[in-house]
Amino acid sequence: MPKDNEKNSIKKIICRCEEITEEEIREAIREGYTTIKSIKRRTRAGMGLCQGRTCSTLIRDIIAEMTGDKKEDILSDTVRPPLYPVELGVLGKKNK
Amino acid sequence: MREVELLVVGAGPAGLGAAIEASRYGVKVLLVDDKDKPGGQLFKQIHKFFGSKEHLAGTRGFDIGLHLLKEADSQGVEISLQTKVLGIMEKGIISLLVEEKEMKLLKAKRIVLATGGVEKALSFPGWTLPGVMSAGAAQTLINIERVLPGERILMVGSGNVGLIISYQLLQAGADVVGIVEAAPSITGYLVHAGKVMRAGIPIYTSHTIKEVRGKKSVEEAVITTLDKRWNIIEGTEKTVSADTVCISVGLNPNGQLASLAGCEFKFFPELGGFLPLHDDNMESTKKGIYIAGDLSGIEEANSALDEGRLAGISVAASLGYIDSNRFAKLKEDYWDRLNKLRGGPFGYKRSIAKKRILLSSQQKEMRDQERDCIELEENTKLKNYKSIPSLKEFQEFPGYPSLSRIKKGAVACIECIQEIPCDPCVAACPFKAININPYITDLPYLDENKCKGCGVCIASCPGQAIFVLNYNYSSEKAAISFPYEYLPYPKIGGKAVGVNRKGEPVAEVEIVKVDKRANFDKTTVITIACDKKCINQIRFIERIKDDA
Repeated sequence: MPKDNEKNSIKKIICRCEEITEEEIREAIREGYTTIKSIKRRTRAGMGLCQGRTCSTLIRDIIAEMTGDKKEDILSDTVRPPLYPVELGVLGKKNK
Repeated sequence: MREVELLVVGAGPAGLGAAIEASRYGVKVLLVDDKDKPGGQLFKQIHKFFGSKEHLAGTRGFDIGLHLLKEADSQGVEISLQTKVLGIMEKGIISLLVEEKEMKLLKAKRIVLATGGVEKALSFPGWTLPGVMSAGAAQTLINIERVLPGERILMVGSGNVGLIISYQLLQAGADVVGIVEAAPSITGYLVHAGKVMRAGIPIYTSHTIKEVRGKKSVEEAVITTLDKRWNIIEGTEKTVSADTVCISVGLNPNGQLASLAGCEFKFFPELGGFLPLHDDNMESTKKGIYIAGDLSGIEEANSALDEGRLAGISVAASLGYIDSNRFAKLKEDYWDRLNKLRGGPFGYKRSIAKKRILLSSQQKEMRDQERDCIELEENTKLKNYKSIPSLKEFQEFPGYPSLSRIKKGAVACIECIQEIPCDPCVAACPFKAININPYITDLPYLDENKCKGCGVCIASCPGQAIFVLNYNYSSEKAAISFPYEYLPYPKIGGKAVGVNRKGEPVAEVEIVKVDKRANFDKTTVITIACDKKCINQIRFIERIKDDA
């Protein structure tokens, strides 16, 4: 059973879809990426299948903790269609 | 391209409410949902709902779901399931993905978004191990799929969702090893906490989960104490053996489609975070797009349903199906109902936030003074509990009979001590001995001289907070009746361990009655005989775990 807390916290995943760890998010914030959008572009967090449905709130909390910004000032990422994954074949099929 | 008058997205209580009401006045409605069954979260809710008669209070959630589906059917609502809205594009063209295999384009004169909420995550080392799941996922497993997520469950969060799902996990046959709450007191209704505490489940307030460990899945969880500033106190770690950890730390409004549609958002922490602004017709800042339910602020099913209905009539009025006088009257009624549901100490923060939403949508800020007044007035009633209060505290409330009345014979004992919007007990009593007035959030008052101790009220109470005490059951014994919703039932004539409000054993008792009458709707009323001196202590029995 793993007992090393330090090691564990480094491995703590924040974005499950893209397997981005908390440390990678914190590193990006230290580099100056302090918005949900820029962290996504820097780390891919929020770019996976669920499109940040789970991790964006966690990332907002980390940004608020590290920068002192108010949560209400840390805006959500721009939402873009399609909201759900679609097979290209379905997307390309001609509408009857 | 097909064109509909109203597209409703999401077939939970808010979406169904909107679709039914709009249809009732003649609007042609298409209701879409991404799941293969309508109802949203309603069919997972096996407990009796709070509220008033118009909210079908005392009815189990899934029965309310069935009732709504029947209504939708009779109003001719067209429901398209397994239908995902991929986007709302330029010129209001909506793209749908049907059954993952076909794209459809659609135009709608009006849209109601009722996309619900998303459970918040909590990250800690080990949170991605199999066995850690949201409380809602565990509820889907037990109540829809009928599979136990695990045998030893640790719940994180003591809000109503965490408390209710803990109770349902017990009913499903799992052990709940504890409920962890970061706040210094229980955050959900005390009556919900009472159900699980009676069953012997500890609630750890001022605690958090630090870590979950296990080789391939959850084997143990480490919990620790928090100080007043919510910082971990080093050295307080406790290891709990568990195979499942359920996370119930609130929800966020699911605003992706609303955002895509161009609705303006604002941050309201009391209602779950960022959400689209709306006016008193439930119309967002984007003309023709209405919102309702958890999307417009995380609340509960009854508020979602009424907000949906309000959105539905607003759409009907905007399309000319309801004249303005009639609409004004209907709208006032719905606001009245919504305000009632948001009354009392549990609702006041949401109530104020909702007022701020309406003002924000009119580009006005609520004057601080006004807000402070409301807060002060409502906050004085708010009392937090770390655990189940003492008998002395219960006796101070208007539902607890006097000692002299108890000694006279069978009488109801109402242990409902928080102002929550609920009143089925009033209608249940054939002798009009229970009163809640003038507000639905007022505490039930027992007229102990009118009460005959018949016990019909016991099963009517969604909070399971009513008992019947019969001091004169026999010359030596008193009898206590309480609600019981576990299988198997105890056997008449058998012995059991009588427990107090915290689930601690008090004395051996005898089961004298198991009342399963049909109109109790599966809330069985058990009567036990015990020593007369235990009449104010014993409120339950240790659960019977198998048929042995």
